[in-house]
Amino acid sequence: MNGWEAVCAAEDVEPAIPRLVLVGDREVALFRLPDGFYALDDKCTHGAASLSDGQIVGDQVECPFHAGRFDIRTGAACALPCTEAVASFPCKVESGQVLVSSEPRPSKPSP
Amino acid sequence: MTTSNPSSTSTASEEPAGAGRGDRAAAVDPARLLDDRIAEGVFAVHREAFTSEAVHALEVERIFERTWVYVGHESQVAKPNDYITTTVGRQPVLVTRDAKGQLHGLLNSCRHRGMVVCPLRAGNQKFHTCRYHGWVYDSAGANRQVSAQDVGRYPQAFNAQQLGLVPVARFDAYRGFLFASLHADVPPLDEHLGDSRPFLDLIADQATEQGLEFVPGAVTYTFDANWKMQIENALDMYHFAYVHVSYLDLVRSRAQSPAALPPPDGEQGSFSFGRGHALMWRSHSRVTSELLARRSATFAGRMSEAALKWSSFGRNLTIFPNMQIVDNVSSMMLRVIRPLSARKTEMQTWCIAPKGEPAAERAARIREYEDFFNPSGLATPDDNVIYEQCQTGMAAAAAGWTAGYLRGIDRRGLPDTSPHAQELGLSGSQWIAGPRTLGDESCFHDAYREWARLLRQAPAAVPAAEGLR
Repeated sequence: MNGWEAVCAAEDVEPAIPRLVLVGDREVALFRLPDGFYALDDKCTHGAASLSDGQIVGDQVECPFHAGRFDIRTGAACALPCTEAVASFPCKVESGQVLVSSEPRPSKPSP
Repeated sequence: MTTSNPSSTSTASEEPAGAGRGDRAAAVDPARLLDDRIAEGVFAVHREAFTSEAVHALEVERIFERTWVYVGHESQVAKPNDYITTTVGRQPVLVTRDAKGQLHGLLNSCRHRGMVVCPLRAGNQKFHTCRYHGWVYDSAGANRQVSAQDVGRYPQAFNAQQLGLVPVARFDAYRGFLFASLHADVPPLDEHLGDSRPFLDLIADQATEQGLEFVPGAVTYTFDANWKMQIENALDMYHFAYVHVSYLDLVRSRAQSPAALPPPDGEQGSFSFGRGHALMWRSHSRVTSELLARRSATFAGRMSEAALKWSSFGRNLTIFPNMQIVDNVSSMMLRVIRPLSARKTEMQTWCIAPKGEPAAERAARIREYEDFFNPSGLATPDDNVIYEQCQTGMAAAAAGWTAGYLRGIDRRGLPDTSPHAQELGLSGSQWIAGPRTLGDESCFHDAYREWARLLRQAPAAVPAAEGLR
């Protein structure tokens, strides 16, 4: 079932620091880029790391375990050892709250 | 697995003295390197204590890897996930503050193939990932990932949770000074430090509740001489007027008035605290009365009257075997001593200061540090040359025992108890005091007694490979 879930106030998300939020019982890493908010499944597809512990490098998040990277906007894997995309969830802002969709975007194959 | 000695560099030390392998190292008998007959007026350290690589190997194994050693200051790991790396004896150690704020002393070696997990000097990381096969540890040392464990066909009982970074056997702090022991059989740190603690308090109490900090700019250097030259020299006031004469000349030529020179009637003395720790003090310092007044004003309220008086005395503290703090009142230095061989020693030095001290006081502290302490300054290079020439001279084995430990032995005419010890509340410390030319050497004795006591210990055993199944 598709639905939107308010996860936190937009002003609580710092541009340089990913934030761990819950959408239902799924852990999601929330990011703020200059053009808006983006959400990725928090769990790296390679190891047991939380992407919300990772570092934002431009448009990508670097996994804290093995320095693999994912595109924050699409979830695509873009640096080894990560090869499999993480799920990406649409976000929107209403009344100062960030809302995250409980349904991931349709997956695209990694480049 | 049978027990055996862990040391690859000191196999000879396993042989009883004179075991007759024809190997010179096999003949190392620590007992004969120290002649401690103090009641007869004899105290001597054999030249081989400074020149023998077999002695060095024993020192590393039985002193540096068997007792409490200083590993860092908590201000270096102030924030969650901050870490520093260091070496205890031969062994790499990671000191880290975990995400919840708890400090840990861990062996910096991956449980998989032994690689150093954190190769950097200092930083801030939630996770430490081994660069070899990607095993991951968190900042508390817990194993967070064995890469591709599920498909690795590990034995059924394999348990990654048991394969966190191994904690050092003992890890504790006193007033922000962090100590580790690789061996569990040591007394509690408080007991180990004993009467040296009031002198660490004198350092720590100069800071506000913000604590002490290391002024940015750690310096590491080596000298080609034995580490015990450094232990002795920092407790040695006798050398000052000879080795540092160029510095004294400069102080004199800078002096605007005679008042800027140390008073000729100063007092000098020492305390020996047992377990190798000692302090050399003098009742004067090179600080100006104006600067001293400004400094003291910031901490006078936190100190007893006696402590305040002692904070204005120059004090050189040695915490055996590897840490020295020199508080010459105008500046403060912390040194860490690491023997690399019988004839090579690595030194790490920092200027320590109260956090948040006024800029003018901080500037004066740093200028004095550069002037005197820094290896680019006027004192340390002189000392290092002296150590190296001592090392060369110590090779003259045919010249027999040196007479370098005799000043301060004759106690005739001294009172039974020291007024200084009483006002500081010291209970069991040895002491001596006299004119500033006393040049006491008896304050070196405890270091050699502790040195000999530790060297005479039996070798440590290596346990079987438990925890892998």
